[in-house]
Amino acid sequence: MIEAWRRPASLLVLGLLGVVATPVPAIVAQDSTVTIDVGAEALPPPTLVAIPDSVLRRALDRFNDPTTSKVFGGSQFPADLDGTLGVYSAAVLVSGHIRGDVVVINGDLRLQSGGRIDGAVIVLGGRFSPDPGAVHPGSVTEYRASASVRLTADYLLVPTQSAPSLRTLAEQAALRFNNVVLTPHLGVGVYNRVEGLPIEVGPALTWTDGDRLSLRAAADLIIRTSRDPSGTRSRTGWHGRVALSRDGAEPLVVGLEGGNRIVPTADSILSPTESSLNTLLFRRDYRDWFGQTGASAFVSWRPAVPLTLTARAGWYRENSQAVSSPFSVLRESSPWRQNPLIDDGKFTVIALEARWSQWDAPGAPRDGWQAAVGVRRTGSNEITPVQLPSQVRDPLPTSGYAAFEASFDLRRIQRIDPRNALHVRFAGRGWIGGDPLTMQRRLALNGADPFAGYAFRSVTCDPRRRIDPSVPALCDRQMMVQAEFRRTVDLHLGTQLGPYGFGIERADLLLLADFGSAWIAGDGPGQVPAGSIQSLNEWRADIGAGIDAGWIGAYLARSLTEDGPVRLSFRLQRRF
Amino acid sequence: VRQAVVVLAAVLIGAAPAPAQDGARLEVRVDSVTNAPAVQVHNLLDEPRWRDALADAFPVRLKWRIELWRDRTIIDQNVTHYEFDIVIRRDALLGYYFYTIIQPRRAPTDFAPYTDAASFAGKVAQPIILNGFQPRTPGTYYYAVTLRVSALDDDEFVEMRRFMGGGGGGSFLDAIRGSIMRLVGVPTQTLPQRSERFEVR
Repeated sequence: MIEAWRRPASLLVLGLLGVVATPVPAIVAQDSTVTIDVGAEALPPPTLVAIPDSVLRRALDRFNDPTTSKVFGGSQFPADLDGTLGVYSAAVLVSGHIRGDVVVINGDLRLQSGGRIDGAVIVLGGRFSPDPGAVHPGSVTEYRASASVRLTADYLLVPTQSAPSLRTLAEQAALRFNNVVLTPHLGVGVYNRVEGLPIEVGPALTWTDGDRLSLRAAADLIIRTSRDPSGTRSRTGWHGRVALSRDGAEPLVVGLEGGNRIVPTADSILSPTESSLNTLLFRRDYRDWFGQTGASAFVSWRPAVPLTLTARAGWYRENSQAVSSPFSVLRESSPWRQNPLIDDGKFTVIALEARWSQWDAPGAPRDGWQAAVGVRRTGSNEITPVQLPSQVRDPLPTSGYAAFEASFDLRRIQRIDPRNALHVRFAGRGWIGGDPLTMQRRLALNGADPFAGYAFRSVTCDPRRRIDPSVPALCDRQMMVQAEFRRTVDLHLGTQLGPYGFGIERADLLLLADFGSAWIAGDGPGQVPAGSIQSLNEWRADIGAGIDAGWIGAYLARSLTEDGPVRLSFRLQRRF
Repeated sequence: VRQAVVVLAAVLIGAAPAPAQDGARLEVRVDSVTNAPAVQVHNLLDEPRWRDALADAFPVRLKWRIELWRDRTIIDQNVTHYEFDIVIRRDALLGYYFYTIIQPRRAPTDFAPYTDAASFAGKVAQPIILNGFQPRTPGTYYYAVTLRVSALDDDEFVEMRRFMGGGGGGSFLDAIRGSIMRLVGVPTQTLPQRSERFEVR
C-alpha cells in the first residue's frame, strides 16, 4: 500500500465545501514518499461504479439545453461565461468565471487557480481537478466510468451503447435464461494437408450456480476448407464438449467430449501455431492425421496447487485419411507429403496423467520444476491393421487387442544468477507392454522439434529399403535429454521512428544440446529388448546455439553423430 | 553458416551486459538498517522516446520486477520476487501529468496530478521503497531489479484505463491508435540492475 504523509489541501477544501462525494479511487498527495508494503494483505480489485441512469439523464438534459454553450474538442476557457458550459469528449481547462453549471462528458475538467464555477460541476467519464485557489461552491458529481452516449447530427447527445468489441458483440448476441447464458462461438483448428483449415462454429452454453459450480457446454460444426479428392470424406465434422466444474481450493472438472474430427497422430511436433504456419507458408506439414469419431469421458482434479490429475476413457472409430490439396503460399507446385495409413478400427482408450508444476508463468517460466507422468491402455476388438515388416512389429490381432504405453517428462529451469539459467529436460514415452502399437501411436526422432540439428523424421525405425513417401513414424519408444544454457542480454537492437519502435531490446542467447533416440522394442534383429533402453552409443546428439526473443527464436544446430549440414530453424515459442 | 555459428557462439560466450545508455539509469539501494530495497530510475524522462511518448499522449508503463537472490558458491538462489506497475501519462490540454501505481490484487493508487514537468520528472525518479521484501534468515543476499518501460498497447491501455477509472470501450481514436501500435510496434526499454551484496546475521 502507499503511505501518504501529507493530505493535499485541496481535498480538505473540497470536504469543507460539502462536495458530493462519488466512489472514485483515492488520490494520494503528490509529494508523499512512495513506499510499497509487500506483505500487506491483498485487497480485491476495485469495481467501477456505473453511471446511474438518473445522473446520465440529468447531465444530458443540461448539456442538450439550448442555452448551454457547447464545446466539442479540447479547449481552454479563460473568459467569463454567463450560463452553462457543456463539453463533450475532450478535456477542458477553465480559468475564467462560469456563472452557471459545467457539464463535461467523457473528458477531464481542470479548474485553475483564480477560476470559478458558480453552479454545479458534472464530470462523467473523467475527473475533476480543481487547483488550490479555484472556487466552486456548487455540488460536484464525478464518475470515472465513461458515459455511453453518441452525438447526433443536431449536436445533441443521446444515450447509446459503447462501440462493440468482439466480446461485446458475443455478449450482445447472448441469450440469457436466469443463470444460463447461450453465446455463439467461432474458432479455427490447425491448418493441415488433409482438411485445410477447420473452421469451428456453434453455440456455447454456460450455467453457473453461485461462485463455485459451473457447467460449460459447446457444440461446434467443423467446416473443412479443402475437399477430399475421392469425395468420400464429408466437408464437415463436429465437436461437442460438456464440462461441470467445481472451483475452489481443489478444482474439479468432470465432462464428456465427442466428435467427428481429423486429429494428429502421437508423433506430433511443433505447436499448433507453428504447424499451421509451416503448412500454410512452406507446404511442410510435419504432422500426420487420421479421422476419429467417438466420445470420451474425462475428469481433472487439482488436489494441490502444483498437482493436477487427469483421467480419460474414450471410445473411438479411427480411419485413414487421404491428403487433399489445400492452398500454400510457397511451393504451390510441389506435391504434399502423403499421409500415412493407420490401423483402422474401433478402439477403447483409458489414459491417466499426473502433472506437477512449480512454474510461475506457463509461456515463459523463470524457475522451478515441472514433471508429468502418464499411462495409457488402448484396446480393440475390431481392427484392420496395416501390413508392416516383421522387423517393425508382429501381426496385430484383429480382436482382443490391448497395448500399454507410458510417458514421462521432467523439466527443470535452474537460474544460476539473474542473467544466466540452465534449462534441462529428460523425457521419454512409448510402448511398455501388451500388443504392438498401432500406426497412429508410433513415434520417431524428429528434427526442429525436439532435435534442432536433425532433419524431419531422421529416425523413423523403417527398415525398408524402398522409402515410403509418407515417411511414417514406426518406432515404439523415444527418449531424450535436452539442455540449454541461456544468458539474457540487452541487445538494444531497436530503432525509433516517431513514437514507434522496432527491433529487439532484450533476448536470451543460448547454447543447446540434445541427446536421444527412438527405437523398436523386441527381441528381433535391430530391436532393443523390452526391459532395456537403446545403447547410448546409438543415440543421436546435436549441439547448437540460438537466440530467443520470446516471441520468436532462431537456432543453428548440427548433428554430432552424423554428417550433415548446420541446420537453421525458427520457433515461435521455447523449445521446451 | 559455420561462420554464423562461430560468431553466435562467440557472442554468447563473451556476451556481457550492454553498457548503460546515456539516458535512463537504474539504481538499487539497500537500507542499512532494514535491508529493504529502494529502487529508483534516473533520467527516464531525459530519453527522447519517453518524453515524446508522453508529449503525444501515450501512456507509459513502468513494469518493475524486484528479485531477492541469496548469494551462494556456484548457483545463487532466487528466494522470491515482486512485481508492480507504474503508469505515467500526460494530458496535453490540461497540462497535467498523472502517476498511478498498480499492484497485483490491490486497488490502484492515483497520485494528485502534476502541472510542472520538472516536478513530475522528479516524481518519476523518486525512490520506491519495498517494505517487507527484505530477507529474514541469515545469509548473503542481493537484489536484482528489472525495469521494462513501454508505451501501452491498446489492450493494456484499455485495461489500465479500466483500473484507473477511465471506463471501458475507449473512443474511436483510441481504437485507431491501438491498431497502429499493434501494427508498427511500440518503443520498449529494459533496464536491469543489481544491488550490492548485504549480510543478514
